[in-house]
Amino acid sequence: MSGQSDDDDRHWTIAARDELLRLRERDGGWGYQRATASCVEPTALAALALRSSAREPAGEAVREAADWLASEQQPDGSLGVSRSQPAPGWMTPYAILVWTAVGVHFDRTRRASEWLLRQKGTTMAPADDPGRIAGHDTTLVGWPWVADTHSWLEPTVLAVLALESSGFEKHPRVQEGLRLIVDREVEGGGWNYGNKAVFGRALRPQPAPTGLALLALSGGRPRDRAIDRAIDYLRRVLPDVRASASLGWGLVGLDAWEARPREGGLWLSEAFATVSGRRDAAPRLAMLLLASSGTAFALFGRRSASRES
Amino acid sequence: MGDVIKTHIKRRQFLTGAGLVATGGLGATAWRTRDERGLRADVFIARADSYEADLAGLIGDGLETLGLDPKWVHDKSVLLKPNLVEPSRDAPQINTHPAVVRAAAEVFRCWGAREVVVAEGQGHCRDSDYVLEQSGLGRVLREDKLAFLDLNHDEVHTVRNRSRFTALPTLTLPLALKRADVIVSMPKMKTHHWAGVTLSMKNLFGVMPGIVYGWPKNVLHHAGIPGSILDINAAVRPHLAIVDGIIAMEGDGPIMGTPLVAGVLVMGTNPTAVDATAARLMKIEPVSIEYLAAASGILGPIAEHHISQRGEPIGRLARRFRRLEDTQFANMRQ
Repeated sequence: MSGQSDDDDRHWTIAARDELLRLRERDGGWGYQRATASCVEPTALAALALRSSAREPAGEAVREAADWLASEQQPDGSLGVSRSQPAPGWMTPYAILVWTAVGVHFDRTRRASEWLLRQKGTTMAPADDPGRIAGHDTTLVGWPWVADTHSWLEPTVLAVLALESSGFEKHPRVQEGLRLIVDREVEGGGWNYGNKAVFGRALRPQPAPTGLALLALSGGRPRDRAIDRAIDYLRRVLPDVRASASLGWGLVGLDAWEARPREGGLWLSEAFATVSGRRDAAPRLAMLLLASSGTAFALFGRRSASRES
Repeated sequence: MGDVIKTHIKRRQFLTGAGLVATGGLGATAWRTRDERGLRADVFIARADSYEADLAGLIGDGLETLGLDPKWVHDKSVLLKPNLVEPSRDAPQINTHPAVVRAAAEVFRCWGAREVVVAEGQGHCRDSDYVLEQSGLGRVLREDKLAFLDLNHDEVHTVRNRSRFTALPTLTLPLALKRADVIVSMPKMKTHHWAGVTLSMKNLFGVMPGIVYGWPKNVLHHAGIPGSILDINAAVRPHLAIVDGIIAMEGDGPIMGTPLVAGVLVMGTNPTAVDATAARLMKIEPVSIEYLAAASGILGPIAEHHISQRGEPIGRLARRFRRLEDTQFANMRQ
């Protein structure tokens, strides 16, 4: 049994897009759950998902989402979680990615990027951890979820993607962020939230962070053994994964390296069946739609990685 | 002595710089029990050799022995908070077993609860659906038509941190907690390489929303784990704790430790007393656990003579739980 037909794909993606649009709040954003306050992350994911749709892109909804995100920007350039929760600012990269993809709000993009470049994860000198409790390079700065805490995988990936898309690809912070991502690979391949080992014990990889790391590392890097290990890991676990974020980011990461399994479309349609109608469907539908295009990596400033193989 | 303290503090600060944790930090409130004379609590221990046992029967009997009955939850909304720390199909010692969650839900439904929901905001994996899929809990929730609330992505509200065991001025909590009439902490019985043990009080780290505190919830690590445990418990005030110690974890908990069949369920309405009793079942002195020592007399009793022991006696079921051996780590915990 290989993947499913184009008709099958068209059927579920149209249904998913229509449902996603129905879940939009009156202010043009999306909440994590139906009929709750719009939040930056689900709104940006929805906008990127609708933007990635090859068929009848929902241009008006995307533009309104971009404008809603603009209305959320703080005077310092950051975006918080929602209107009532103006911090932390880890969702700021999502707004940059949407504005860049849509081609709007250039000044806001610049201010958000400048804010992002001012954010730094806390670090530790190796001499202060002689027992090697931490398993990773604690001197690399990267990006934290919350100000004045350590750097983790997902916020660093998002910051790297956003800053590269807004023209900062050569910036030393971005280059260091990429080194941090490479450094956090777990033993045996793949990535998790950002701890590769604690007290000498290797921790386990997870699909979504692995997909995100593959996406970030596809920006012009040669395919190396870390990439191969991550691709092997995802191709091994994704057949049994129907959770939307894990499956979605996993496939987006594989797409960035032209390594998507033929059954990927079928898995997405099966995941859609588990998500549709749920109160918390919006970010899940967005993730599945984003992955369904097969070219979502382009929205993150990536091209097909085959050129690098 | 001053240099020792300075070095200790410096190490704590630097380790948080590496995304690890701040241990200690409770100052004079730690390492001694407070006056517990005014505090008494009942704790019930049930023996359960496997997850195939009649767990609903054991939990129902235990709660009735503790003086609870259907009137306690009738027409109320009950929120069950298991511990789903990380997705793993093959490690039954990591997460609260789905059979225990199912059994508790069955009891409260039989007792006439208006609704029973399961809620978690796990700290190491953003994708709740994946954690549910991998832990086996998702299948149980579907079969039993139990709703799941993702506390990491819920709407939030902020309250003043009145207890101030940490320097955090406020705590941001999911609205789901506010909507629930009864909050039940349902942890796994485990050793913890930073906190010493992780039981019903540490389990409440999982109510703190990731969208505000991150994955892991590094803000709480920086503020200090013991103090954060106390601040969260003082703010949330869970109504009941049911500890899954049927297959527990020893060694490098809360994730990489090894399974240990302890064969117990521990329950009670005072989480401090429940955790102190569970620690004794692990042959760990409660007063050696910083958050329990500091909770003593404030949030509940930890002294054995202040806890009315019901059900199975501790001595018959207690097992020595191996804890992580690491010189540097041990020095930090002191």
